[in-house]
Amino acid sequence: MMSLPYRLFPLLIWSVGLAVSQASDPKLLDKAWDDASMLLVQESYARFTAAQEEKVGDLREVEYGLGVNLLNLQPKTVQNINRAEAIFTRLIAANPNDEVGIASLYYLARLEQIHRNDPNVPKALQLYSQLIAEHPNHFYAQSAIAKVAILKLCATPTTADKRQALAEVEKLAPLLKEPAARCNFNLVVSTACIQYNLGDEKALRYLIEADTIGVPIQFAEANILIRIGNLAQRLGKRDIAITYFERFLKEFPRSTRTFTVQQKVKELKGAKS
Amino acid sequence: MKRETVFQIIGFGLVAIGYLASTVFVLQRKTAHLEKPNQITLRIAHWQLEQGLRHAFDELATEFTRQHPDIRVEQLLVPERIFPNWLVTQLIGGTAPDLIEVGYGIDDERLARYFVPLSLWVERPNPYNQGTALEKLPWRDTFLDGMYSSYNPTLQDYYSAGLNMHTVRLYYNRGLYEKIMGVGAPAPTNFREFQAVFQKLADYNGARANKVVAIAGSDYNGPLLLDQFLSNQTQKLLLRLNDLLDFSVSKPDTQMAYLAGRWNFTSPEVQSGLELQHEVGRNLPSGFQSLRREDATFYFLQERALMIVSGSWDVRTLKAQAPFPIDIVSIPLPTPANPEYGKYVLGAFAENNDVATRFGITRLSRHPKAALAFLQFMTSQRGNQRFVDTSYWLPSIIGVTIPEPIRAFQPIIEGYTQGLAFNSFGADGRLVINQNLYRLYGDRQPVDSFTRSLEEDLRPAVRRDLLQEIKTRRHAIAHDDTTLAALQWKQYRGKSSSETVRKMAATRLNQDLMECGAYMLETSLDSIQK
Repeated sequence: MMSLPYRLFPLLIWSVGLAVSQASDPKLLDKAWDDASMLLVQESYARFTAAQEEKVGDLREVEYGLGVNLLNLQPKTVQNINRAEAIFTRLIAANPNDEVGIASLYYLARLEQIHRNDPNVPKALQLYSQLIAEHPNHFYAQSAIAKVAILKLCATPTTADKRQALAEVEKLAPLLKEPAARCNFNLVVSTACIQYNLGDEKALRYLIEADTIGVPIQFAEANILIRIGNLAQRLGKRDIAITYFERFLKEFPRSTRTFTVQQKVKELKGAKS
Repeated sequence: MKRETVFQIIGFGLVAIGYLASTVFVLQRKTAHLEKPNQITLRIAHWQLEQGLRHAFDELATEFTRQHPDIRVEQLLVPERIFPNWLVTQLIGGTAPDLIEVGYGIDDERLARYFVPLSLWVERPNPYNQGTALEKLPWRDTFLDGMYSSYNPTLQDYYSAGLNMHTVRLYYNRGLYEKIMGVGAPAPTNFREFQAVFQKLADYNGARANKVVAIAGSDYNGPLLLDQFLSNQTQKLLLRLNDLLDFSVSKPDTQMAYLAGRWNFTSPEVQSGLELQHEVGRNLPSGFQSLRREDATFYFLQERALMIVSGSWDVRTLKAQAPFPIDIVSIPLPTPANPEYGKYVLGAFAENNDVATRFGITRLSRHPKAALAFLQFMTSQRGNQRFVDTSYWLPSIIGVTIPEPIRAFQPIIEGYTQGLAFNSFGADGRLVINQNLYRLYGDRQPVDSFTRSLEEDLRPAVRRDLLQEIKTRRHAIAHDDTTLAALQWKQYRGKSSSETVRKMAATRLNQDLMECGAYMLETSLDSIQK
């Protein structure tokens, strides 16, 4: 059987070819980011490599582009992850306060949490906390708040003190300024509240707030409307339950859950009269 | 001349003739094409070899060419089994057709690399709907499933548009049925009447040498029928497992609940479902699990079986090939009113309205605009009506009339969600179940024997499946990091469109929810291992 390096040889040739052909393209970096945004990591990496070799564009942007692509470059190797770590560390050391420096800190935390074979959750938490403390209003710090909530509430053993974790996580809520980040945070916390029995009232409050901000995925929105209806019913808040169930029926009339929700509405309206 | 030399000359001669013939064939094709210099050829590839489908696509192609004389459409039919390998060769070789059926052999990375995202167009009306009630609706909202099946949650985009839906029904031989049940006898509408058919058939078979089997079965058709009986009995059970209160329990959550001991094969609902499966399964041919789909079809067509269960995809094939009239009914499952099997049942199932036979436009297409136009034409109300009228498949588009011969397949909307079944398990879990399934249809304490046979091997298999599920989710979560970094950078540089903003918000939420779910699954699994 052909060994891995030999099998990767055509890809290497292709990458070098692409790099050479693209080097003089003035929109090289735009194309590299476009590729990365569409999961075309090999292509994006080749373009950033070309930009680095030909010194096209801002060097920090190019290095950052290489770093975020290395996180998912196939085959995923320890060497690539270590290279990404070295890039992010260098970028932060050079300037921790510009866009690249801040983003690098966030992806250093992601690297520790997700991309290593042996994730280092305490290190990731420490980096997220640093990011939140130093640049609380930045997009990545706002994203980091939901990540901290996930790690503290969902990634700890089922026997851990989830109430204590919830109290710690809730202290971060006032820092949330960006609506999308707040929505995500609310959905994470409400899921944990339901799953670990941390209080229906709290779960309902977080869910309603998330819904008010606006949930950007239709399927998630459908789940949330039903969850609110069921939680409200469980808490004896029939009007809220009916409102949200009826919204589900209006927005998702062809769902396989429609009939079940219709029965719920009938039941609630019957109980009301 | 030596014998070996003669053989060599013959060999080379054959190769030369073959080469010459191929050259002539290729040149002729080229010439035929060149006869219409202003016409482009769109190529569309799929694996739907069922009767009527080729004709339906041809009809669409002819009508499309009539409206656009500069475009002709060529169909490439590739058998299902070789489709993934064929597809990879075409994509990597740069020779892929313009439109390809999406499914086999296409993962997220291939989709991103080789297919065109459609989000720009799904928000706009389909121009081929002009003059219909759908003319002002966004293309997405003209589909019965709101294009949910075409949406890729990892890539947060639409990559295909589909032509039809499918449901599963019970086909029966009307002539044979009347011989057994009496002239004009109505089809069974509930489980008791279904049981009565089995009884009458046993009487009919009596001492006959060539006995008729009640239901033709195979490894393909059997589960289509029998899984529904287990799902029927576990409807209430599954709702009890719905911790997140959204009337929807994912397969991994069902498996986790199994490992956590919240249900198992000795649960009364599951035992009742297994009893029911045994009772119905005995009416399939012995050893049906080792028969193939074609075997079951022959059984039915040769009148050796009274009924067969299959989907709407087979209606045209069966009706064309059967020398007898065929009627079609819903599978008669127990209702809550059934005294023996009713207590765990909520009611009829709401049938999934996922859209199938979905086509994507390849990035390699030399005519992407024409490919989009043909895709929109096929999924317009008029185009889809034409497709449905010819193929006898169910429509994917709102307002398309279901033709009379397939009315029985009309999806049931007023119904509850299904319960759990064997397909709630992952690959390893299903393998253990399938290896022991023969016990469920045996004679010696079948349900008990089957249940006991799973005790040792099923738990480790389910654990392996869940570990695989966590790994898959982690992979998707990791991928989102690069995507999000790029989207955020575009926004930071002021180079983002409203579509970029939407995609970023959706990817970010999807990643957070997936991360939350993956950790919950992982920590639950850890707690059970300990």
